[in-house]
Amino acid sequence: MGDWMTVTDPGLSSESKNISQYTSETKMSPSSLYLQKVLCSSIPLSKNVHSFFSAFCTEENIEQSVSYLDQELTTFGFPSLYEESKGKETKRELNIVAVLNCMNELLIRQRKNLLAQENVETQNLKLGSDMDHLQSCYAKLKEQLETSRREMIGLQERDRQLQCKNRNLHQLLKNEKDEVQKLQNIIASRATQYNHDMKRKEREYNKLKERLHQLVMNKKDKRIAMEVLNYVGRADGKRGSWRTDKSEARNEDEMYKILLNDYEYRQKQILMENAELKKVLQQMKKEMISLLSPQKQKPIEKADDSTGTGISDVEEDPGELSRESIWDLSCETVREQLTNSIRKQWRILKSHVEKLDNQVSKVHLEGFNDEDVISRQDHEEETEKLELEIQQCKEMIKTQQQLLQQQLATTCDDDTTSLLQDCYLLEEKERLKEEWSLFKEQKKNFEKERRSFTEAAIRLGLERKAFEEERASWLKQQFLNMTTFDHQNSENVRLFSAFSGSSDRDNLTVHSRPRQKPYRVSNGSPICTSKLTKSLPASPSTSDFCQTRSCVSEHSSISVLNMTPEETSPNQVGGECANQKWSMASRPASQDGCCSECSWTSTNSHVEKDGLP
Amino acid sequence: MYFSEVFKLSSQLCKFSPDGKYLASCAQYRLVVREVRSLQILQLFTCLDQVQHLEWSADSLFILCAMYKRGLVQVWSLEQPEWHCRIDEGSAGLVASCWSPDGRHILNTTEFHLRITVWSLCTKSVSYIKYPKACQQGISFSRDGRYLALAERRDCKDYVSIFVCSDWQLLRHFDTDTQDLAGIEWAPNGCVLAAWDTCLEYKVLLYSLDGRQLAAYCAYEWSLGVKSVAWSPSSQFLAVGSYDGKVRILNHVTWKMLTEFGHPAAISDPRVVVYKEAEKSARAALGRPACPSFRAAESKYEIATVPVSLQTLKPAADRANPKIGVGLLAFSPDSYFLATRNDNVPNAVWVWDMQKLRLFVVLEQLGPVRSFQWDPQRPRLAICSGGSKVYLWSPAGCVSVQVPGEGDFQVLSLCWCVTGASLALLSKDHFCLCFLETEDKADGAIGQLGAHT
Repeated sequence: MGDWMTVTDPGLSSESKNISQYTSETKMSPSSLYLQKVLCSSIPLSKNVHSFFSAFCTEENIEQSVSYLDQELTTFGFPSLYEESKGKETKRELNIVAVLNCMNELLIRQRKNLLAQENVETQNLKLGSDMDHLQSCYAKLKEQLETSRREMIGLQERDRQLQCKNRNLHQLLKNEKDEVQKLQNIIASRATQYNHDMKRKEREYNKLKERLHQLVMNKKDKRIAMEVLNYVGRADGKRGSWRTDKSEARNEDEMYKILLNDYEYRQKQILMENAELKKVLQQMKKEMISLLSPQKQKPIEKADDSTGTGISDVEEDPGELSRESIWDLSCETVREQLTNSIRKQWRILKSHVEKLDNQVSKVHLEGFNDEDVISRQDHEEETEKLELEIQQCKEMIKTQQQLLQQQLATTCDDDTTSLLQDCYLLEEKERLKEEWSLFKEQKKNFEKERRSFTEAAIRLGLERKAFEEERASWLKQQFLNMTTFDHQNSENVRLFSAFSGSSDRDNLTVHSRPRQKPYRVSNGSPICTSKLTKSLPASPSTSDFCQTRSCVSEHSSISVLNMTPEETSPNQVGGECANQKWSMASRPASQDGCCSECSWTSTNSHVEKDGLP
Repeated sequence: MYFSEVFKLSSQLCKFSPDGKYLASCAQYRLVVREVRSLQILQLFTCLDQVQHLEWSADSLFILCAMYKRGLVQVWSLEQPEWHCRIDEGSAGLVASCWSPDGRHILNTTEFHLRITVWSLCTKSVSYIKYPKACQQGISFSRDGRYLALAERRDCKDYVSIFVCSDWQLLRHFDTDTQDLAGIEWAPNGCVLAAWDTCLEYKVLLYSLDGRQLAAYCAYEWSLGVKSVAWSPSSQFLAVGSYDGKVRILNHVTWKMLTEFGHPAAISDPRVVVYKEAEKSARAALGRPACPSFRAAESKYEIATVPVSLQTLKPAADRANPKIGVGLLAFSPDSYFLATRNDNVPNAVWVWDMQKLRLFVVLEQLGPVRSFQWDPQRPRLAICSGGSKVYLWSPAGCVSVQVPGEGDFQVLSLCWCVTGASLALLSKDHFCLCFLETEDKADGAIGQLGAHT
């Protein structure tokens, strides 16, 4: 790689250099160009320009020089410097225009030549630098080639050395193997030698032993004896038996009995173990069947390969299971069947499990690949949404709490707060309840009264208006009667009357119904008031009653408004409503048509109150 | 745990009677029989010379005392103190003596293994068995006492003879496919006989009672082979310890290897509990001012965190009987555990779980393990390492107990009483009894015993 870099780099740099050269040339100002030209051209010429000119043409040889120049120029294809003479004998005149044209032409050519020369020179320079660069490149490459060649030689050398080593090692290994073989042979030979020696020695030893035996044992050694005070009885109480064939046979029998017992015992154990294992197998099989059969239904639809065998197996099994007693026979065919079916089941289970595994892994992979990303985004969005919701809810709760607190703060009535707080004793509660019901009744009555009052006020207002109109009409008539009027005045009056009349008509139409009510109300109201006075003697409304009645005619709307807060005060919401009504009613208070609105509000409030406890 | 006072002893001859009631011990030429529970001397017998071998008869009625140097065997009766029996092997000499399982016959092996003489205490009859092989374990009685298997060597070939013990009749005689038979042992059920070749070759052979070869097992070739063999009490496993530091477990159905237990010096399995004996600091001893100051420091077990590397011994390769390989093997009485010792990791006892067939516990002692023995009744292992301490392990844990008494009591060997209630600790020329509390025994008796200490 390094070599490549070194090769390519200079080229690039040279190119860039060239480019820079070009640019510098192009950038050169005309003056400098001119200078350069002058320099280039003048260096060889400037020294002897004058001398040359002086040498060429003098005062005397103008004619000749002109003719010479003419000749020269004509040979170069220029037009003749002389004017074309008509007669041959006449001396030809020097044509100044032609001379000048020639000179100009010559100068232009000179300049062209200079330019061309310059171009050639720069190109020459360029080529020279290129050449240098290429030469350096060549040198470098040569060097590289040399180094790589050297490396190659080194590697070859190493390879050779390694091969040599390898050969040596092989040789060593071979030697070692040989040695091992040799040693093994030695060991074997030594072993045989040893065994042989041993045998020889042992034989000798045996001979000696034999000899010793003969010497020691055969010689009736008196010392070899047992002294016993008296012989003791056998542990089992039996007497010693003679060695006979019978006893031998008995011993054999006993031995075989013992062996048989042992084998029987072992067989029993193995049978037990077998039975246990069989039980386990059967149970396993049952469980497998129960586990696999419901799952089989699905794969059947999917047309799985393994299901075919599975179905047949499942079909087989109930029959086999019903023949459970066969297991106990443990005959080979049954065993085979059992093992085969278990194997089948096991294979199915295995494939199933593998499938599941694959599915799981697939799901895992998929989940990791793309689904997870999306779900994560979804998840994040969802969580954001939820968080926003939670915040909103929190704010709501906060505002609600604030409102509640405000309401609590605004309530000045002790009864309600106490009721709310529920800190009274039972008796007090009872009492309060009674009072509450009473209060409610009163409220109702008040409501009624108020309605009647409002109606009465409306009626009074109407009556008053009618009376005022009457009065006006009467005054008008009187005035008309008293004085004569001009047209304008009459018009004004008519306008006025028309206005009043129209308003009157409107009022009449709107309050046509309430007009009939006052009679009824007035009839019923005394009962109400009497009731009220009885139950609540200190109630301010009764005392106000007269006042309101008296001032209804003047300020009907105010009287209504005065009453509403009093009525609604026991209840907070009612109070609120009252406040609202106040603000609503206060605006049209001065207007005449307010009464209808007031009545409406009052009824409205009543409806609201009914909904409350 | 209570300790008895220290009694004199010679040649580590101290044996519990098979019924667990008596304790016989020899001090020079005197044989002392004590009652185990009270340690009162029941009988005192005087032998003709210093006793070299002591053995109870299976019915706990007779005691055999062998004096090899003089070729003499003396038998004493516990029921009849005046009864005596003396067997003189004369010029033939004596190298081994043992009871037959019926407790009425004595098998004496003459010098150079010329023959085995079977002396009867019931009759005048004497039987001879020729060509016994001089090997590690050439005589093996079946557990039920019916049969005797005897390794023989004739014409440079190994044979096994099976005798019926009731009348010493030869039942079977067959040659074994071994270079140099090293040992034979009956399976506890008495139906299979295991025979193994010399240490130069790894070969384990299994024979049926009727002489058929059931199986042959060879783990590897060209290296030192079997070092120790043990049957599990259930006859289900045959554990074969070899010089390569492994125990191979053979099963009783196919006689193939079930598993092999390696004994690496580094234990990395986190499931294995490694108990490491550590010396207790001096401060702990301050609580008992009665303690003599010269007594060796007490020790305790600490649970080491795995991985643990155990101390190993570099065996001398140029000497015979190199200290490598599994030299000690013992199954617990319930066959649940197998205790082993790898001889080039002399300080450690490995306890293997035979139900899970894996290493269960490793106990690393401060000194090399001299011997260990399982409680005959429960899975409880007693270990001694030549120090003044006895170590007990059970699946619940392990303890290091200092043997009380004046001077340094170096426990070289130990043996359990068959009841599992007491343990005899043997030093070079003393012994003491260690009584262990058992749930079924009344506290009163032990309390009284405690007063003895």
